[in-house]
Amino acid sequence: MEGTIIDIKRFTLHDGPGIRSTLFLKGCSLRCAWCQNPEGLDAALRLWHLERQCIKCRSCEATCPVDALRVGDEQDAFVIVNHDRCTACGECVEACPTGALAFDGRRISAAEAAATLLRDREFYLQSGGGITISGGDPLVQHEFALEVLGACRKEDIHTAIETCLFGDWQVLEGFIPLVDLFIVDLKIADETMHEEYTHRPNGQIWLNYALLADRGVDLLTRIPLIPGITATESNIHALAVSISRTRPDARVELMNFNPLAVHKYELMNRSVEFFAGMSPLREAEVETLMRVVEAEGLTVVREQKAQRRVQEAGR
Amino acid sequence: MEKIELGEIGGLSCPPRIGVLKQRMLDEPRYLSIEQAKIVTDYYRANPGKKRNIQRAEALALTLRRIEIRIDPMELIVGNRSAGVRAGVVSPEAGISWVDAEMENLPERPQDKFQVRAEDITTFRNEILPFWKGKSLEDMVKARIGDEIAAIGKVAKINQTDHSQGHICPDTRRWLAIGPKALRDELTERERVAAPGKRDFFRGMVIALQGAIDFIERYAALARELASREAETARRGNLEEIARVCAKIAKEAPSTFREAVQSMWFLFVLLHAESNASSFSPGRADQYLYPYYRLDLREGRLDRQGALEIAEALWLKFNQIVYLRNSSSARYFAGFPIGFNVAIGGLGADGEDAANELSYLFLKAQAHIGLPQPNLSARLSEKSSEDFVRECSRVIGLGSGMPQIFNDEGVIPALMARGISREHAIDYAIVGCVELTTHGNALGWSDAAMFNMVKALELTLNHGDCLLTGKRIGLDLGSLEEYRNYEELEAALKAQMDHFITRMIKACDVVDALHAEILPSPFLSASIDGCADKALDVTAGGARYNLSGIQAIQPANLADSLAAIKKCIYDDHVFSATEALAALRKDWKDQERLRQLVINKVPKYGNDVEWVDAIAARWVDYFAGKMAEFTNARGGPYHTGLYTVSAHVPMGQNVGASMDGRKAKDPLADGGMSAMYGRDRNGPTALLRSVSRISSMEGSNGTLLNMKFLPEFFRTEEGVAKFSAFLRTFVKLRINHVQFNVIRREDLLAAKSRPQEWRGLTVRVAGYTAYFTELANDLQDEIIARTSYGEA
Repeated sequence: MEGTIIDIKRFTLHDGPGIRSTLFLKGCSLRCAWCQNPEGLDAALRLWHLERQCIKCRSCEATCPVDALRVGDEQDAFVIVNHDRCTACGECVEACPTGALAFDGRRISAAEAAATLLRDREFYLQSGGGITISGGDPLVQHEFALEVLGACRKEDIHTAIETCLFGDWQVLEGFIPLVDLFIVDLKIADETMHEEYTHRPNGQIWLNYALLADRGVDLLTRIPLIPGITATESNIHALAVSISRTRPDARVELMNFNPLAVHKYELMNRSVEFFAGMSPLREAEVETLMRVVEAEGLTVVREQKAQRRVQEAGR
Repeated sequence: MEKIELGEIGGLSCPPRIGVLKQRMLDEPRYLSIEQAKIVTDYYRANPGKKRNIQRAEALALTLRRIEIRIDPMELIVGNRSAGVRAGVVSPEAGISWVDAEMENLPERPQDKFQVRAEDITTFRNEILPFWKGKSLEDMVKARIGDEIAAIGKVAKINQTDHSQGHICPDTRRWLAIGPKALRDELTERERVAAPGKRDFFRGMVIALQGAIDFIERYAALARELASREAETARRGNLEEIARVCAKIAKEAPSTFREAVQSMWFLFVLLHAESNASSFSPGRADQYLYPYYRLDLREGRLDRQGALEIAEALWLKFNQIVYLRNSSSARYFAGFPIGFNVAIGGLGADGEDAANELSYLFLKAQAHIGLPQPNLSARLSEKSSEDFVRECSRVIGLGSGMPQIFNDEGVIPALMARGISREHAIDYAIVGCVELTTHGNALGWSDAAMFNMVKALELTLNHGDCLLTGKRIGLDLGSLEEYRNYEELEAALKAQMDHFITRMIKACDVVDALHAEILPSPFLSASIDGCADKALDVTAGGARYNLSGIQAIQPANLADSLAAIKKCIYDDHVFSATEALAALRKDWKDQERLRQLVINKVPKYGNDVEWVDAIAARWVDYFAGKMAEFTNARGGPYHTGLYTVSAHVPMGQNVGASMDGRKAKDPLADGGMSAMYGRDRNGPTALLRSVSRISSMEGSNGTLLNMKFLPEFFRTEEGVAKFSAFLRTFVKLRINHVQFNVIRREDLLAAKSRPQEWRGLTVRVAGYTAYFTELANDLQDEIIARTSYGEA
């Protein structure tokens, strides 16, 4: 079958052990205000115009069958897309020589996706790596995700998924036989606040977390540190208490805020107001939160600094 | 194999003495030096009519007895071929007309500046230059074949026309095993029993060796004299030890680690004094120095910290001899790389991993010193230990661009395919930047010429006319508009390449033979296995192995251009041949849409796309197949290299607009195996898979792949482990070579704008490491533009 993906990235390093390739699926059930992959929110393809790559050649001008492009009329952008009209037919993308007009993803068959993911097999074998399905959230296009995972499993490759756990348990349960590592994101303990910032309640998430933990799967729990929202001592403490009650031996990784996504919001003409004044937490602040997690008896995944040898090279 | 004390080596510190010596060396300005040129010229003027090899030997011996020498009282390892460090030594026998033309510009030229003393200019012009008119190698080459070299120069650049042969790994093992005196006596005996016509050959070697012995003894005498005047106890002790060591190794074989290192260093000073050439390689120093190290440790004469200090003293010495090139050559080989290439690790004669404690100690020295020399190479195989791969990874992560990595699994079979025995192939070393050689028994002539395949394509598309000048310099086989299908175009390209290859080989043979005529090298011949047995100078084919390497440049641009032509013109009819040719002729002017189409809509080499990679592989195979048809002037095979050093910048300046979307005169892809910069967009694993499709068997002269990683990658132990796994996969993929620049883009930009703050910053140029701030602007920009990997 076919699925809609953002992209397949090779040589990913933070989505599980070893050297990996990661398939980013489109579509997510949550609407986290800080989403790092906003192009993954909607399952449908959306047309982008990257002004910086545009050479104003007007190759796209006549291609649109539904008159959804305005070319060269406005001051601030050479090409303006009317998203209400655009049917994502791809004619203008085909005509654009630079890739300035592009979709935020593409359709691909499960077989082709698996074949691409398996290309770096030798690197996975040498490094103890494998493939990861991320997103968006893999639970949205779950049938496609399962087909891809099945194909990789057949080749004895380590598999992982990265999920927010929002969805039917039956859907999630279907992943268990095909996934070696579940990387799950938990965000906010307080139910009202969770709904405020993600547009969804967290009851189903905790239920899925408990059911998944109960099945004894390899589980890595991640918490994004969003300044003033998730990254408060009270929230981290509350999350840690719930996690340790469910899975006392859980491994927890705190993911510091990454400001790079702001750029994507700008590209998508989305408001960046939310991010105003936000910056990554200082190392000491992260350390404090790590201690809060550890106080509940949980294991925090810490980076092991490389053995630094005396160095004069450089300046 | 003895146990390796990794923990102890990890804890060793950089001795303060080394820091002081390093600072002094970097502070000392580089000068042009004509001292040796004057001695040599005076000699030749007084001794006309003698046989050339005797003249060469006597001139060398005279130099070694007269040239000013210097010892820094803090040095552990002494010796240089000039009094000043990093001096630009002029060699009149090889060629000096360019020195005359460029002398005044040396302090100002964009690349590799040298200070020049006013009185030296006068002496040079009055006493040296006139004598050599018409007699130097350079002048003889010009007289015999200069017009032809110029005529084919844009496609086939002929090298070795104005300097002596380098890129040689001498037989250091034998030099250390028997010492200079025994070597001299052996050659004296050979002279006595030789056929009358051969006696002069041995006589030359004996004269050169006696000069060598005298030279080393002069250091012993100078050290003694300095010691007698030295009041400070530690310094006096050191000077006395220098005197003792030099007095001994001037004649005898060394018996301690320090003696062995000192003896080895003198061998390299002497080779440079004779040949003033680019690159004499120590080769597998961790192997042949190990017995001395082990014995010293066992007998308690030396501890590991002491051994490291000696190694680091040698590391500094490697930076004190640089190679003066003319300004054109300095652009091709920027940053005066001299190529003291040390190869650590790799397989031993028994086929097992041979990395030992010295391999790690050398990595440690590299981590401490971080200067351009030695050119440290690590040999990896499937048998390399995880410890060794990790330690290499850590040192790479420090950012000095070293060690570069060679792959025994690819290199050894490639060398054997050129007729080299398994015993010698498994003992391979690296010369210059990335050129492969056997150890102590080869004249590899690895930079015979560079063949610009991208230019050959340009001429094939355009009636043999140069797109830059409009002049007809190639065969008129038609044009892009006239080839009816892709196959016809390929057939024409083959004919065009064949035409230039034939002319190139003829020119190379003439240059090769002129070296034997003008620059016989008695001391070098005494240091290469085979010459004494054959009673033949190394330049005349005395070495056991005699190869010639031609570089095929650049598979990435050729494949990308042909892929664009095939897909856009012949297969999908996106645009016509007429449009395409017009765009190339106008250097894409007003054709940006077309240019963007070929850049963005056609797959590129380096992205793990089989059909494009296959084009690169096929043309490398074709070129290598042609090389196999020729035999060089010394009776050995021609073979293929896939590297450009920094020549992708000036070679690109010779090429008009190309169908891969490159504009006229822009650089070609860097390295040799690398993708065109900015066009590999699928990450480092995809790039390695692409590169692995070019057969490692064909690149037996050496291959070069550049990759750039961010320093963050090496910050965690997990990152180091992943990098090690990456290297192990590289080994599995049978790619012969890879090297890494590990530095942030912002730092490079800062270094470019504020060079004074970044004087010690070293970067990998292409096969060697250079000081970033000493590179010309265009090369700096090009390095900044290369794709870097790290964060997912």
